[in-house]
Amino acid sequence: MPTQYTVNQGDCFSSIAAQYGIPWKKLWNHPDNAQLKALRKDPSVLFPGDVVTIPDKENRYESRSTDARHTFTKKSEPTHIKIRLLVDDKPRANLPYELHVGGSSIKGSTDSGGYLKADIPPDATEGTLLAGVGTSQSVYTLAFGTLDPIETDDGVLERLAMLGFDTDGDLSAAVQGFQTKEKMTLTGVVDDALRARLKERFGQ
Amino acid sequence: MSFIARQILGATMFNTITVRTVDIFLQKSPNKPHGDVRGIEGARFQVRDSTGAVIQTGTTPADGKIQVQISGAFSTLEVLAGSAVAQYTIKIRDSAAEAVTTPAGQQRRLRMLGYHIGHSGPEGNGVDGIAVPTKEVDRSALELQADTPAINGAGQTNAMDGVVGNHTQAALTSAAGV
Repeated sequence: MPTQYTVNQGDCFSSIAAQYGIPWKKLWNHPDNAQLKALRKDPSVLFPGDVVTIPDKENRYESRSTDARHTFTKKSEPTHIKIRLLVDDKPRANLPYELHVGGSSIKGSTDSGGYLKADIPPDATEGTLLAGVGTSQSVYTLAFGTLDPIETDDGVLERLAMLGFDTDGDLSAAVQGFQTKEKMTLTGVVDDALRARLKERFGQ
Repeated sequence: MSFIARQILGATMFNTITVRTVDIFLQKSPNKPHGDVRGIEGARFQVRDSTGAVIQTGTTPADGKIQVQISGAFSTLEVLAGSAVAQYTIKIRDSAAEAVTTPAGQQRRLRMLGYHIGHSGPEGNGVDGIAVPTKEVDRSALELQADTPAINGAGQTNAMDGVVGNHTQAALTSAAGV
């Protein structure tokens, strides 16, 4: 019997696949998940309440001689994060950083465009990014897998907040702030044109 | 908090985190003993976002100028010099400060520079837009004139009168940075 898995905040295809020991591509391309795939288009971004069908595991038969030791390795698929750091719309280029995930820490430097890319375990849920040295250091708290689809109001708010807009008030005011900056028509309404521009600026 | 996706489809997707900053000068009060070099150097500071999480830490440089990160509606700047803690709430205003030609604009700049202008007005900080010299502002303007070499320096002939005229407005703009 296939399992019906209901998505919680923080889940994405790679974390669910890791949990059930199935390659994420197999899960994503499974016919029973075709509707969800068409709706979300991006296996990295699911919404709480989405339902993923987990197919039964298939047995794999391997023949080996009995007189020797054989090693079988469990395949674990790495996931990564890619973040662009901006300050007042300028890239934080060539900035040394330390990323703390779980018990380990990764050191690196952002590239000339302010991008950093790091591999993380698929089940990691949060991390701390310390960027910069000397007289000023920034602390970013990262929640992995929590980005909601851009089709949802939550997804729009999250993206606006990360782009530096004040989202403590209502969605409409934050949308107008974005529209002002982008020199778009001021409507305060989330439509396809707004989503497209937001996706372009945010990167996903 | 930043919402970050776990990426599995190649490297085309990314998540942007933008921080907005405002330049803040931490300075000693403007009076003679400090001269023109008033920056507070070597003070540890930290910045919290509106949820209370620390988003920035650092130490002030020689001129006391720091770029404070603003997250959401406002940030709180805490200056940790020894055991004393000074706390400032910093908001980004979408509109510029009031013009320096208006009483409110003069009051706001005097206040930012550490002069005492009372506690009237809607924010309780003395910025009430009521024209000088009906309140403490004329006294503060006089102190500013005394502290400003371009007005009170050797060879200057400007009146030390507590009236915020052209020269005093220029001194306010120059000292407050806006």
